[in-house]
Amino acid sequence: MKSEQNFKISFEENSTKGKAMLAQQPAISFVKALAQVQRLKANSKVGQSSKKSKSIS
Amino acid sequence: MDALPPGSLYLTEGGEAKVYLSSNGELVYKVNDAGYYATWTEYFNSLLLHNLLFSNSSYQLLGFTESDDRFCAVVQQPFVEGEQASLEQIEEFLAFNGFIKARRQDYYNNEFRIVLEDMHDENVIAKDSVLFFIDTVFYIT
Repeated sequence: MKSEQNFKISFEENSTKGKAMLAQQPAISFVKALAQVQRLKANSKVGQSSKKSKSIS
Repeated sequence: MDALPPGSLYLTEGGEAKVYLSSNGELVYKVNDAGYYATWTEYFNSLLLHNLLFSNSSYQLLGFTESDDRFCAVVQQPFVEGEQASLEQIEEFLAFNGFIKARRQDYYNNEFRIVLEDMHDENVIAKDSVLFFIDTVFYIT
């Protein structure tokens, strides 16, 4: 997937923007949080064997 | 500490940590056995580097506990609502900041001789044009 947004920003700028976003972020319910975790896992483009684990670290 | 803060709910777990959502839905607690590191000093150096570079997802050490008969650190971090970053976005951002992809999802910064491992799309959240690195593994070489 080609990146359409500009991610050529410094660590500092990324963190500053992120903190401002989090300050506005409403609390999440457990159901929504769990759904996000499961969605990230299901949609990952990286195979489980390529992710860090104690057996391959 | 004897237990996690009241009302914490188990969410998921990775290679070295069990993750719980706080009762107010704003934080995650990670119970981490530092299994990716040779020493606890390495683990805390990694936390320190994370907080220096990724302060929008910074860790706070709450204490220590025992889990599955292992000594563990308990840290908290903001819960970030968003979608996964693409691998290209992660690489573009890290390259701009001096971390060059070495192998798989691992990066290296030549200037400071720092390794940053496991930067795949489950460990980085994208929200608008901001990346949140929620699970990093740093090593100083």
